[in-house]
Amino acid sequence: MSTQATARRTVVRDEQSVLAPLERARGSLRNVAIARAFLLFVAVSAIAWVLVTIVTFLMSRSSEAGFTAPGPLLLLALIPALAVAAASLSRELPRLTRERVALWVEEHNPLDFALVTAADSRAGAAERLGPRLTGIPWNDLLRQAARRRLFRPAVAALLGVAAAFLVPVALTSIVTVSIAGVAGTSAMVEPVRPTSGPLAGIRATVTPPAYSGVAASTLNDPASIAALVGSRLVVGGRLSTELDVSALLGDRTLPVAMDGGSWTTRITMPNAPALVKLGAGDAERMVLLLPQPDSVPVVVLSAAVADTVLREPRGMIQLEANARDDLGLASARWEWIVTTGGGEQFQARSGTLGDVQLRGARTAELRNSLDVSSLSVIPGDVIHVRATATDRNNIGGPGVGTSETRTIRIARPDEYDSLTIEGVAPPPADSALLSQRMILLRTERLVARMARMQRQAVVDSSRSLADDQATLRRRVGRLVYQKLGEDEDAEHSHFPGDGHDHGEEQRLDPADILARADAATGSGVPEVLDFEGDETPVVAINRPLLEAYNHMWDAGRALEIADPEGAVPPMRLALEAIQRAREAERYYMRGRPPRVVVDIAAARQEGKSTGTGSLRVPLGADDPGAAARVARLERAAILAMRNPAAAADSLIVLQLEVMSHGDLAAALGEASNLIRAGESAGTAMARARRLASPGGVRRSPLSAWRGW
Amino acid sequence: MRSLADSAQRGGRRVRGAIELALRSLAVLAVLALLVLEFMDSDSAQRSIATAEGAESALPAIAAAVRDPRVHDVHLELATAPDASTRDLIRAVRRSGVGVTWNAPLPPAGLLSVEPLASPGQSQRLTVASEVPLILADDAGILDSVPAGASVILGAHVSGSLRAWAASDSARALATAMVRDSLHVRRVLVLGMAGWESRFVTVALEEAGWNVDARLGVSPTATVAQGVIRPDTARHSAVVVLDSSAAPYSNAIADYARSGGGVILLPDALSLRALRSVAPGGRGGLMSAEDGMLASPEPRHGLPMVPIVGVRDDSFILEDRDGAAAVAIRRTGAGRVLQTGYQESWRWRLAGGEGAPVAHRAWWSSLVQSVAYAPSSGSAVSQPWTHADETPVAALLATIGPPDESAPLQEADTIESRGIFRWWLFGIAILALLAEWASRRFRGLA
Amino acid sequence: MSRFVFATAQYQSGNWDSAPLVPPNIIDTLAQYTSLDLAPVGAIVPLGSPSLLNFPFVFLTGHLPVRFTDQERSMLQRFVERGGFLFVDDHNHDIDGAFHKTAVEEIERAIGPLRNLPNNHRLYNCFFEFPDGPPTTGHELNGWGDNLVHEHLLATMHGDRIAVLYSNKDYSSEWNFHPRTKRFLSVDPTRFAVNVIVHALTR
Repeated sequence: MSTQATARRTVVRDEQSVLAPLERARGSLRNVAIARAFLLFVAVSAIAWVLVTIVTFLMSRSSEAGFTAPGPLLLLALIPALAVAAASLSRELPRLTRERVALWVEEHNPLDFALVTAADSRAGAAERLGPRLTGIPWNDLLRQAARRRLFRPAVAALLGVAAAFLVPVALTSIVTVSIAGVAGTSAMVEPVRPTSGPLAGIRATVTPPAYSGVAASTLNDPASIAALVGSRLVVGGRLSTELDVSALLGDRTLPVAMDGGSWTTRITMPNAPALVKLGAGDAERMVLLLPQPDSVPVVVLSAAVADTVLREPRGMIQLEANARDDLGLASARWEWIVTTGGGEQFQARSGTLGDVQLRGARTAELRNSLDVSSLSVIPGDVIHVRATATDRNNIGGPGVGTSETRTIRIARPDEYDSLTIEGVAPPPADSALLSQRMILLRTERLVARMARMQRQAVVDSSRSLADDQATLRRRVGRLVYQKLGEDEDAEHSHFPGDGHDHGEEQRLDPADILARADAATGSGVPEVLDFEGDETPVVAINRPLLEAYNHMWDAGRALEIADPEGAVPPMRLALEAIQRAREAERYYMRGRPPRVVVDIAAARQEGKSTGTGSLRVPLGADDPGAAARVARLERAAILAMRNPAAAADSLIVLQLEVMSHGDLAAALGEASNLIRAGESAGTAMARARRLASPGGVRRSPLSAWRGW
Repeated sequence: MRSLADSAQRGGRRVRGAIELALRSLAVLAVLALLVLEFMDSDSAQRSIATAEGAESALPAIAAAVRDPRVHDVHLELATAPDASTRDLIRAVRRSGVGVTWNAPLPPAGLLSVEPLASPGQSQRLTVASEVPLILADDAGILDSVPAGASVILGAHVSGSLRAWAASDSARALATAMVRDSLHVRRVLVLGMAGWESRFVTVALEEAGWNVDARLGVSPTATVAQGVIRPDTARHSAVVVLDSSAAPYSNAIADYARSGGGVILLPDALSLRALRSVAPGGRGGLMSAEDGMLASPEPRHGLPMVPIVGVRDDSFILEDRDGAAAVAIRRTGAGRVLQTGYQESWRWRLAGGEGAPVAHRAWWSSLVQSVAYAPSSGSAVSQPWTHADETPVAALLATIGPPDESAPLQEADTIESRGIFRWWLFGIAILALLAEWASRRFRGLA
Repeated sequence: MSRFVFATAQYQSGNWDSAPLVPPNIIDTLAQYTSLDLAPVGAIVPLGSPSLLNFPFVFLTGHLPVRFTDQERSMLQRFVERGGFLFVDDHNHDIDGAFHKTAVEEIERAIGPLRNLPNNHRLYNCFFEFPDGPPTTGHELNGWGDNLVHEHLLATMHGDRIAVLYSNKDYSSEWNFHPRTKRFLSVDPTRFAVNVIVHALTR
């Protein structure tokens, strides 16, 4: 048994040694099959990934939902790849039996089926056929087999992988271009620098007029030049090629000096916006000239503070004013006009006073006294005084600034005016205005601090304010009665039960007071034209003060109960009423205009002649050029995507035409500058479009209705 | 043999008896089913499902569905997204008291719609169904921003197609739309006595870009005229009647409205009988202006107003003030008539706050837009744009709400199919009874 | 209908009330020749007050210098921009007079340049025919004031619309009489006022 077993083991060993190359070849072929399956897996998954990407891209284009690389869909691409790989393995591996590998070897290296026979374990001829199997070129056979089986899958896998990397990148770039092109935002998203040409990189030196005292400045590559009217501009640049440069200011040709490779042209800033067209060969460029007008001096009158009426044609009137100018003042003075006369005959004289030379000072104070008697005025005359100042503009000026005018009237002997004062001190209403404003400010401050204060402190402060308010109210009350021609202290004597009992102050009854006002001015019957509520002029003057008085009473009561918040609204109303009273006092009244009520019904169609019809001419749209402007702006925006320089020039031309629309012109200027600089102009363009077409997005004033 | 034949005969009779019993049972069951169906229909609210291919067939489909008086709920299944006419139809049917739900496949980019307005300027109604504010742009760049879920007027020219994206994500265009139609806007005729209202209404409309014909009476023999005065749909989109000086034209104005024109009536115009017959309502007592309101955010409160009373059932109140109808509108024949109770609107223009002239102009322009007869002059699209919406879905959603997807797209239980089913049941019952009767007759039974 | 109110501007610097009978006279004239809805009395409106904007037609006259305050200037600008019509008449009838020089300066500063209004302007034929332009006044023909017959009125335009109509012809004197006096006149001198107001109401 043991001998037989030993012999059997020997046969098996021999057989194994003879068939070992065959087994190794079989193993190698199995590896080739696995490698082939892997390569197929890679190739199919890459191709599927590419296909999924393309489909996603196409879907995103049709839906405009936006395109992104489809990451999660990679799993979908793996399914067919796994299937193909599995199919390949399941097809290849079962075939690699020893017999079939032997047959494959015999096919490429015929051995008269010796190997097949040796491989057949049932034949048991391995040992016997061993010598015949020694010459087989195993390595060559396996290399050929590997090359043949793996070459195409490897190429497919390589191509697939390359496509998988390249296609999404390509599609993303297509989408970027597409969005930019479609949305018209490429000029904003992907700024394009204008192509450089012979006229790129110009420089402009601006020398303002001498009177301005402003230093010269230089601008690099400007789309527009803003400077004072009369400024000297030197615009120039360098040329890399031999070209002649031409320059046009409007229709006028400007001389251009050529010096070697550089050129310059000199321009004086006109007083209206203009366009300079530069040309060199085929290249063109535009530069917008934006003249900055020299602002006129600002003159503010501080005294006399109000118009007034003088009882006598004499006395001194103190005059004070401040003048300022951005570039410097030349002179300042007071101007007066005296008007004499009455009825239909008036004469006027005029003159100046206190003329001073200011020699370029930016600010100046004018203080003078007007001697009324020196003007030879008589009762009934009217003096108008105002301050004026001139600047040093010797180009288009000088600019003249004026203050408000004060009117001083000399009372006629036959009129009595309770407002007559001398020396033009602030009238009582003015001082009341100042005081009320002060109390209001203090009250508002108290309201702001209330939350952080102790209650008792709030009460104390509020009562202190209430005292001040009461004092002011009594002053205004005295003013009212003074105007009514009564005793200044008569405030409390008008109301039953009020007389001497100071603890029972009451609001004034407007009806009663107005009746007294009429009585005081001798106008028992209101024979006047409608005067803002059918009142006499005197009542109109007094009514605001009466209102102020009553509002002050409300405010004081609120302060007494430590409710400063509740005191603020009546204080504001009081302030506003005093302001009205103050303005009302300034109207010149020569008497009470007669009140004539026309009997319309009686007069109707009683005329001696008959009129005829006529044709009306349409006034036209508010801004008839708006539609054309919008269309040009849109064209420029689209042009900016492919030719920024031309778009910048278009915007400059448009800017010139819309200089009267200040904001739009500024937005266009900004956009053209940004486009020329190669920067994003999206925001400026959007603003320009909104200004050019001011409808914008707005809510409809009415509910939507389509006529169901 | 005989016994065999007898037994066979007995067996045959039993079979026939069983068949006859089955036929009778079938007839009884069919009749019972009919009764049950009738009971169900009469007991529960009937919901009819109408199907339509498109706008043209929507009206007949709804009409067929609501013909049954028991139906007060219609579900409209549309093969395509409803257009403007269909959505108006749906809204109109709803106003008549019939509940209408709808379902249709909507295009994916339905967040934004833009439709031309009957205005002389470059205005569109823009409807946004987005829940976030959007930024709008067209081919020439950014236009403006628009609040979420708004129906607004875009008073700007749209170059090419309109796109919108969320402010927080500028990389993804959420929606696209483009103006599909352009309208042929005609002139506006203003009729009234010379006065501040007629003057400022005329000027406001002219400033807004409307071409205006006008007849302003000055005296019994003299008028200031501009253009052609007689109302005509071939020339006028709307007629504004300010007062009774339009008496010579009152019948013509009423005819003009019925034939498709738009008419705006101010309170004084209602003294004309012909105009009262087409007006949305009558005149109430004068409500005085509220002091200080002209410069407020509600400037029309600062105008005197004659409220519209007795508003007709077929009228729609566009604006009210303190519970009183201030502006109402109705369809008269083929045209529309708007009645405004506001008087002396010129005071708003002169004494209103900042921008009052522009607001006054926009107000009058919007009144005219509401009624203007402006036939479509064809597509405004010069080249096909594949990404634009076919239908103004956002406007649709804003007008009639979202689709009701709970109702199946293909449901057998339609009014028609249920009716056919009844006929089938009836036929089965009759046939079963006939067959049973015939069988019995052939057997010699009564 | 919105009622027409003849408003007179009240300004601080001068005698704004120099022609108090002009308003009733013109109202009477309007009633005689037109069927406009009219207020039977005129209104006086402070030029610097927001109530100016309640009166789209405002008449301004005087003899004395016109110096607008900042508030008056601002309100006048707003008035004109919003569609108001200001009719200014030089009661002095004197181009060298204080009113003319100061009023023109102030109007040009506040509103814009005053230019001659062509005598074929629609103002002159919108109701009554005035083929030779503005009708002359007795003061012109009698040689008072600047001793000139002014051929044209002046106007400041706001777009195509007259915003300010300025007269040196002294209509303030010509029209400043009680309406009842008119019945004794063979030719009504106030007819031109109808044209001014009809023009303001319709353009």
